[in-house]
Order: sequence, then C-alpha cells, then structure tokens
Amino acid sequence: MCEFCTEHGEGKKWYMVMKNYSQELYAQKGRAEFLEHFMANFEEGNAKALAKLDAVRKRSLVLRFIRLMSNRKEKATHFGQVVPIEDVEQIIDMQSSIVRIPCVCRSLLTGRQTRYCFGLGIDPSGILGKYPDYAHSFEVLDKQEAKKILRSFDEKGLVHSVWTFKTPYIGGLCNCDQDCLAYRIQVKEKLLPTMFRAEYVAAVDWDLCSGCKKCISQCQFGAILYSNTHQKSNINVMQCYGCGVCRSACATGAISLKSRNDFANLPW
Amino acid sequence: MKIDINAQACGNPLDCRLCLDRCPEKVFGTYPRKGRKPGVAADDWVITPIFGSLCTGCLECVSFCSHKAISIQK
Ligand code: SF4
Ligand code: SF4
Repeated sequence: MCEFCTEHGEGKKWYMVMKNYSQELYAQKGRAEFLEHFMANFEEGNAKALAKLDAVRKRSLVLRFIRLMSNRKEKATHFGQVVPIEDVEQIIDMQSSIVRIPCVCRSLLTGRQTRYCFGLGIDPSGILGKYPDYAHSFEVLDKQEAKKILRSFDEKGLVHSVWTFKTPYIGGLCNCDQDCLAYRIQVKEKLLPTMFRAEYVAAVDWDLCSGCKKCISQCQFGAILYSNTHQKSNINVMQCYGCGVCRSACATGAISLKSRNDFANLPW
Repeated sequence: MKIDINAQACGNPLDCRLCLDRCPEKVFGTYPRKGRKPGVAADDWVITPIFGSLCTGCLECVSFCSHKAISIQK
C-alpha cells in the first residue's frame, strides 16, 4: 500500500474512498482557490520553477535538499498516483460529476491545447469559467461517455492517474504520455517525486506470450524486455509503474496485474 | 550551453511550435507571458528553455527556426 492508502485509505485503496472526492472536503482549506491558482498559473509557474531546478541539477546536495522540501510540500498539496483502467472505471462510478478539461502539461510542453484530463466531482466552470481559455473547452460527460473515452485512451497507451488538490481531496484524473510534466520531472529527468506508482505490477504468462513484442512499444516506462533466448517478453518490475496499458496491446492476454504488496523491495 | 530566445523575432510560438516539437531533448516550454486573468484570453505566448541543462548543442532548433529567434552559445 502506498503512503496515502495508509494515511487516507481507511483500510482500502485511498482513491476508492468516497470521502476523498466529497464536496465537504472540497469546501475546506481553500481548495477552490488553490485549484484556480493552479490552473491559472500552471505554465508560467512551472516553467520558471523548473528552469531554476534544472540549473542546480548537477549540484547533488542542493538538489537533495530541494527534493526533501518539495516532496513534503507536493505530497500535501498536489500529488498523484497511477491507476489501472479497472480501478479508473470504479472511480468514475463514484462520481457525481465528470467534466473534460484541458491538459495544462501538454500546453506547457507542446504548445497544444488538448483535452486528456478530467475534473472529478467539482464543477470547474464555477471557478475556472471566468478564464476564456478554459471556459470553451469544458465538456460535461456522463459515466458511460467518460468510460468509453478512458478505454480508448488506455488502448492508445495513455497512463491514467489521479491527482490531489490539497491531499487527500482528489479532483483530477489525467491520461498521460511522455508530454506529461509529472512524467518528465519524475520518470525521465529524475528530479522530484510527483506521483506514486500503481498498487499493481505487471507480469507476463509465458505460456500465453507469442513473443510479438507489441507490449514493448505500448509501455511508457520502458519496463518490458524481450528475451531472444526464450522469444518471450518479460517485465522489469523495478521499472514497471503498474499502469496496465500494456495489456491492451497483447492479443493473447498474456499480461496481468499483480498486487505490488505481494512483492518485496519494489519502489512505490 | 547558453540558450537565448528573441521573443520579438519569434512572434507567436503557438503558430509554429517547431522548436517545441523538434528538439530531441525536449528542452523548451511555452507560457502566456502576461499570465492568465479572468475575462482575458491568454495571448502573447513565449518560448523558454525549461530543461536547458539537457541541451546537447545539436542546433536542430536553430536550423528549424525560420524566424532566427534562437541563439545557442557553447
Ligand atoms: S504483446 Fe503479449 S504476446 Fe506479444 S510479446 Fe507482449 S506479452 Fe507476449
Ligand atoms: S509493463 Fe508496467 S509500466 Fe509498462 S505498460 Fe505494463 S504495467 Fe505499465
């Protein structure tokens, strides 16, 4: 179980707890203002903060200090966890409102306005509707529509994750590839922790694997290796984030997810 | 590597985005210079190096930028 499950999970996975999506929680601790500030300043704030961080990247002591401080802050304010599609569908079933919203990460890193993200529970037009850049792109979805879009993202290899706005309140569901800022910061650049891996890890059943290698290009984390000797694919569990998107590329159903808890020494 | 962007020469990067797309190390990002304010659409986007330390000096961006807005000094 990840740290958040222990702290906010009431014995379940923390993102399966209804309370963490509740209006009551949202109404506390200035969350609406936090969300507004977050969305309004995302590109500029992150561009400037990350350029500063990048400048000290090679000074390991400074970086270690910043990592320690920022880890505490990020975990309290805005932190994520990778969630496989089955759990995402259960999360969708728990929501009173689902609104498709623009992806600010891709805006910053690619200059494109795309809509890969979902606001959960909250009515973003209330606080974000006054920003013309966002207002026109909101789309209220029913559960079936949302699930259909999320499945199609899964097939494209986009990794799902939930995000807090002042933890433990969960307000966002993202669908990421390598243009996601959290991915850049944590996975590619190894600068700061931004999210937990999923509560799962993938495994390949060699009796079913045909050795077609399709899963390898589906994985955003470079976690699948191919053995020429055996002509089978293998998961490098130290790299695997447990997102499960590799499964949709596998025609023989050889890949399944196991509980991360059942393994010793795996990173979260 | 010292990366300089001439914002005036660049103009509106969202009409072009070649540096964002073509940099192999994905060094650049873009943001609305005057921020986002209620009632006003964000315009005036600028390109900025975010992960400048990754720049290998390959000069792909310089060669793709038809506005000659990027200069890179080793
Ligand atoms: S996609 Fe499935 S069958 Fe193909 S290599 Fe991967 S695990 Fe094996
Ligand atoms: S191997 Fe792991 S990280 Fe890669 S796609 Fe499969 S579940 Fe995700």
